[in-house]
Amino acid sequence: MKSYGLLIFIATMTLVLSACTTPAAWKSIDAGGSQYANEYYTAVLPTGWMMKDADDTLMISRDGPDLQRIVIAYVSLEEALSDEDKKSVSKMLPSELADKFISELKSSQGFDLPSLTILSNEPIPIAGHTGFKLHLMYSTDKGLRIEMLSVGFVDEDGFYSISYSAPAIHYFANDRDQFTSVVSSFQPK
Amino acid sequence: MSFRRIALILPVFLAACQTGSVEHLESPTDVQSITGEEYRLWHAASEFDEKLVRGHYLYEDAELKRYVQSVMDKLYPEYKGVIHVGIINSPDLNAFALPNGSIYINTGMLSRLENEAQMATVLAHEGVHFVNKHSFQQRRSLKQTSAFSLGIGMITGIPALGSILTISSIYGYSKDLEREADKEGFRRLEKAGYDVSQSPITFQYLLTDVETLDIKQPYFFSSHPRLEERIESFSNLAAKADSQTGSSYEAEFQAETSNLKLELLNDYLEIGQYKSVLLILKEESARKRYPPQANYYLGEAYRLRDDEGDVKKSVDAYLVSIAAVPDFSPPYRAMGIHYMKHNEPDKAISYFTKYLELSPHASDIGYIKNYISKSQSMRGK
Repeated sequence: MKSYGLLIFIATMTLVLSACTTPAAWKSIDAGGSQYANEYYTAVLPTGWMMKDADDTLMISRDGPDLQRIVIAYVSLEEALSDEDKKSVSKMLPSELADKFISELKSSQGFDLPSLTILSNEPIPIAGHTGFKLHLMYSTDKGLRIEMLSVGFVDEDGFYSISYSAPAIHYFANDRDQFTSVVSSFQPK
Repeated sequence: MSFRRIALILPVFLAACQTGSVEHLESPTDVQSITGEEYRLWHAASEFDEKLVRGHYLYEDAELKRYVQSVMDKLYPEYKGVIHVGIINSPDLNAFALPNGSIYINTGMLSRLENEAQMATVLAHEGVHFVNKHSFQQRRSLKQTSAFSLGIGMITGIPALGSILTISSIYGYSKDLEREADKEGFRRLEKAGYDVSQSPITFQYLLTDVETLDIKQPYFFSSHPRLEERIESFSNLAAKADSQTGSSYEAEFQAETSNLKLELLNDYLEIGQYKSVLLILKEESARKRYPPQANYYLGEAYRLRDDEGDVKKSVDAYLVSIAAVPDFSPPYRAMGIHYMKHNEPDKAISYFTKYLELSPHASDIGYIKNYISKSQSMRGK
C-alpha cells in the first residue's frame, strides 16, 4: 500500500494540508462553465471560484487556498496496485479505506500533526458506491484550527477523494455547503 | 543544510568541545539569580515549552503526568516545583532536559520500559543535565550560536515536530558530561530507594529495540554507541553500589502506562508501521511488557502485512485478546470484518453485534450497522 498511499498523498495531501501549489496557473471557473469534466470524472464546481488543474488533481478556492480549498484527486487502480502491495484496493471496505486515508494522512506528516482529531467517520453513499466521510480537525503550529472534510470511495477503475479544508473560525462553515454540492454532483466516468 | 544533517553533525561537533567553567545549581533558589546569557537561554527554553503546548505535541494524560512528575520529585525532592516533567507524544526513543528545568520524555520511550526504576533512571540522568547546567556549559564552549537557540530558531511554521526532535538529538552532551549525569543520576536513584540493578537494563532494552527495529535516529537515547556507553557506565555503578536492595515498582508502572502502551501500538498502525508492531511484539518476552490487549494490535499488524499465513495468525491473535480481555471491543470488530470478507455472514453478524454491545458509542458505528445489514443480505444468497 506504500506506493498507493504515496500517490494519493503526493497528489492530494500536500494540497489539502498546506498552501503548497502546483505549477499550473489559477483560472476562473466561470470562464469554462461550472460543469467540470476530465478523463476520470465530472463535477459541478461553484461559480465565482478559481481552479487549478494539474495531473489527476483539481484544486479550487474562492479566496485563496489558505482560506478555503477543495481538492479532488483520482488514482487509478492500475497505479495503485503497481507496487509491492498485493492487496486489492477495490476489495477494501469503506471503513478500511477510511483507516487507510487517516493512516496516510498521519504518516505523510510523520506524527507532525499530533493535534489531528477525528470528529466523525461514517459511511456515505456517493455516485452509487458506499464510501467514507471523515470530519477532521487539527491545529497549526501557530494555533490556527483547521477543519477538514474528506470523502473517498473506490470503484473498479480507481480511488477518488474530495477534500475540503478551511480555518475552523468563520471560513469552514461558510463554504461547507459548496463542498456538499461538489460531492453531490461528483460522478466517475 | 538540511535539518537532519544538522542533527547528525551537531552532536559530533558538540562532543568534541571543551566545556567552560559553569557553577552548578546548589539549591533551587539559585534559579532566581540567573542573569545575562544564561537568563536568555532560560527564556528561550520557556518559549520552547510554549510551542510544545501550542502545537499540541504533549501527551495530555493528567494522571500519567502526575505519576511521572511524582517520580521526578522523589528523585529531586529539593527541586520540587522547579523541575517540570512533560510527556511528548512521539514514538521515538528520546528524553531531554531544557535549561529552565523542563524535562521531557517521549511516549515512545515510556512504552519501552518495564518498571518505575527504569523510568527513574532516565529521569535522574536528565535531571543532572539541568541541575549541573550542562546546556549552558555546552553553549559557552561553543562560543557561537548555541545548539539550543539553533533548535528554537528552526521552529517555524508547521509542522514543527521535526525541529523539536532535532533539538532532542542536539542534547547529546560530551562524554564527560554524560558520565557525570550517569554518576550523579545513579546516586539519586540509590537515595530514592530504587532497585539500581534496573538502571543498565533500561538502556539494554532501548538498545535491543534500536537493533531489532533498525532505528537510525540520531537522538541520544536511540544512538547505538551512546546506549552502549550508558550500559557500561550504569553496570559499573551498579556493581559498586552500597546497597543492592531497592524497589522497581513494576506493578505501579504497568498500571500507569498500560493505556499509553496500547495507544502507541495503535499509533504505529495508524501511520502504517505495522512492521514495527510485529517487531515489538513478536517475542513473548516483549509482549509481557504490554497489556494482553496488545494481541489485538498484533493481529492487526498481521492483517495489514497480509503475507501467506497471516490471516490465520491475525485471527489467532484476535482470539487471544478476546480470551484475555473479553470486554475489549476492537477484536470483535476485526473478527466481524474477517468473517464478512470470508462469506460467513452469521459469524460476522455475531461479532459485529458483540462489538456494538460493548461499544455502543463507537465512532465507526455507522460502518458496522452498514456491515451488519450487508451481512444480513448475504445470508439469503
